[in-house]
Amino acid sequence: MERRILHINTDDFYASVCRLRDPALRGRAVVIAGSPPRGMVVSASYEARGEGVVQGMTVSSARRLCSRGVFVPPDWQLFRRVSRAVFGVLERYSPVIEQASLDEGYIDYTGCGRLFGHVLDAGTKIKSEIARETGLAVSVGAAANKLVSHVASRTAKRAHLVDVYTGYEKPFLAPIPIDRFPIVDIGRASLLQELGISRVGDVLLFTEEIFFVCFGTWGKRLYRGAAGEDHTPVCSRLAPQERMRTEEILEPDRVSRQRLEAVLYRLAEGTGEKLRSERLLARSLVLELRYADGAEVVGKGRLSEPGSDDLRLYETLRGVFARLFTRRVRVRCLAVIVSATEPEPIQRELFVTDVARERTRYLRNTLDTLRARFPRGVAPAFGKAIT
Amino acid sequence: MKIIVQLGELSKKMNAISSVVPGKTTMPILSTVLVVADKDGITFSATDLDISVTSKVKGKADGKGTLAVPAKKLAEIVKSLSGDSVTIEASGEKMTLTCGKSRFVLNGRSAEDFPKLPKQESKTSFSIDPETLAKLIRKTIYAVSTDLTRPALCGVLWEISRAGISMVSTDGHRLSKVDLAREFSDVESVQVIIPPKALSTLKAYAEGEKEVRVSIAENSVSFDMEDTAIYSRLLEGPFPAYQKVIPAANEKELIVGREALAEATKRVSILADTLTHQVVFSTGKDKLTLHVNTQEIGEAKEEVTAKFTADPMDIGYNASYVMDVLKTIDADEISLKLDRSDNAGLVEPVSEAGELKHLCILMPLRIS
Repeated sequence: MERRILHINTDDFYASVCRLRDPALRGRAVVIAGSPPRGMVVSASYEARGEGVVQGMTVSSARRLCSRGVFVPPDWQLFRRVSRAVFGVLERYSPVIEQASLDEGYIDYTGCGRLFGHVLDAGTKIKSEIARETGLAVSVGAAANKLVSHVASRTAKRAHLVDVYTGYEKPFLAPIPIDRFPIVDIGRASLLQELGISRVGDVLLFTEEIFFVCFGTWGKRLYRGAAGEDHTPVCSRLAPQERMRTEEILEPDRVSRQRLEAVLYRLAEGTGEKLRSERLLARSLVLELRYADGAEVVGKGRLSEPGSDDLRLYETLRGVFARLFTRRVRVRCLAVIVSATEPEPIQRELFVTDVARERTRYLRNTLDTLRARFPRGVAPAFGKAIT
Repeated sequence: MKIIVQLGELSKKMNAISSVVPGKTTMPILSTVLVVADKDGITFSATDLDISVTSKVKGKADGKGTLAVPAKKLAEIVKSLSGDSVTIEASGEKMTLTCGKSRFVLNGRSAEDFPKLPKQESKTSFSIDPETLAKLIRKTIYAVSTDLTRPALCGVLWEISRAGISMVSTDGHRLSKVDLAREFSDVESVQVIIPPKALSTLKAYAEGEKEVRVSIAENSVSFDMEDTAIYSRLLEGPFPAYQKVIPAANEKELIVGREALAEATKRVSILADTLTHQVVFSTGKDKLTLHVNTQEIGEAKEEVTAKFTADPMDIGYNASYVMDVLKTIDADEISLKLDRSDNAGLVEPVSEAGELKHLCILMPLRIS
């Protein structure tokens, strides 16, 4: 059966939701950002983007670029409510929906044609239903896989619909600028541009082996992606790695190693709690560290044996942190992602060989229960004194 | 050398002996069986260096001879034959088997390369009837661990004293213990751990024998029967202190029919998770409900008539472990004594006649 995937992208989601709440914002440059001066830009309307405002920029920089813009603090409750309404519409068209973010998602439309007609008809209906029920405009991309449908919906901006026929992926992708290709991040885009690869089609001028030698498995993925191949399934539930992300934006930026390690412990605690609630054990962790000047470094650490204990997670993270934190620059954000998990054994042991570990496990579960019932801070942190 | 033996006897012995021969070995001689013919019959020996078996098949012999031949091929040939008797001839390094109109010539190896079979000096020994021994083995061998990082659990603990024998096996998630209350005069009290392979070989050979003589030495054990001798190295301990984990205060008793529970468990476990095999037991006053709910597969539920003496509770078990236990209990009804849903459950037969006392311990699964 021919695979058909739809990518739905809400145009200017955050600004549009703010305009729905406050019609006076219509036609004006809207910047959704935290409180000044250190707050960061969460999203910017097309008008603000035209002035040079981009996501991740500090509010003070954004104000310098867009002095006439309206700066609105993010209302996450409202954004989530509207997002739920959008995805409620998508769920009518297929049982397999993947929510990539609040404003983007995939629909696996394979085999649903008999119910809702051709994919273009379904896309049109989805667009009009979302517009009628939420007042938002969406762009729809349809293709044989997630990657091409994503590019198609970007091409369909604003409020259009693009269907890439099966077999026509290569010519469709060829003229796309390399920095607009979803699997290429900013750092890699500039590296590819230095190598003379400015468009997706340029990738195919080389061989897959060259990309594999230069960039490893990512290079292989890029080559296949440029050829229009992507076998990633549409997952109704987020992958454990994505669910298991814990981050903290430091207020204010910190440079003291001791303070940063305390934050790291809080992140380990949060990660441990998530793992235990899903009865998973972490095998490896990724630590993302973003400096105040925007530079970002990423490191990976493997646990000596799979676990969910906060202290053991912390020890692994501390090792990674020591490798990553090499500059005397303030740190803005730390994030921990569990990159590999395995299920926690549910079979109880007859002979408890490590009594201390068993007691710690029991204590952690009790603390988790307390934290779930009472506000944060009632249940104390355990295992490390945090200053 | 030429010898005529009964096919039935040869087939039985070869079947058992081939189980000792290692499947993969760096020493090719270990994949052979040593064949020694004398005037009374023919003796087959096989070893994997931990366990050795020597078994004699009576027959009419003409001359003497020794040869090592591929064990698996010889067993396959014997298994495929039909008839009453087989003629075995050896000349040089070739063995010829003739049965009716079939004739096989097997290329062998020099018997000199075959490892010398060990002889042990026994510390203590006793005799036991093969039926009881087979029962003791059947009730314990299933719970032996396969985790090589805990070698002591990879065998069955034998506790021998003048008052009887206790056999215990555990894999860390379940435990089986069977006591034989029988007087053994002149026996020294010893504790040894015997590998399961030796016990399963013994069980295969002991069938039809009159008596088994068990001799225990410092590092080995031997089982001598009329025509067969099995030698095995012992596993090194220490065996965990199993007495401490036998629940003494489990007062909530569930009494249920063994067969009904086994069948219900087998049925509902069809939909159990393939990794955990989780089945939840919900106890009621006069019934036991078995639930399985696997997100990707589906759900199953079955009720079994039972008696329960406490407030209802839910407890999760690995269905395979439950089935293993139920297969080895001989009584019509079993008693499952429980405490909390995260504590060990004690399974015993409700009525047990004779000199055997059997108990099993099952550790539950964590249920949400």
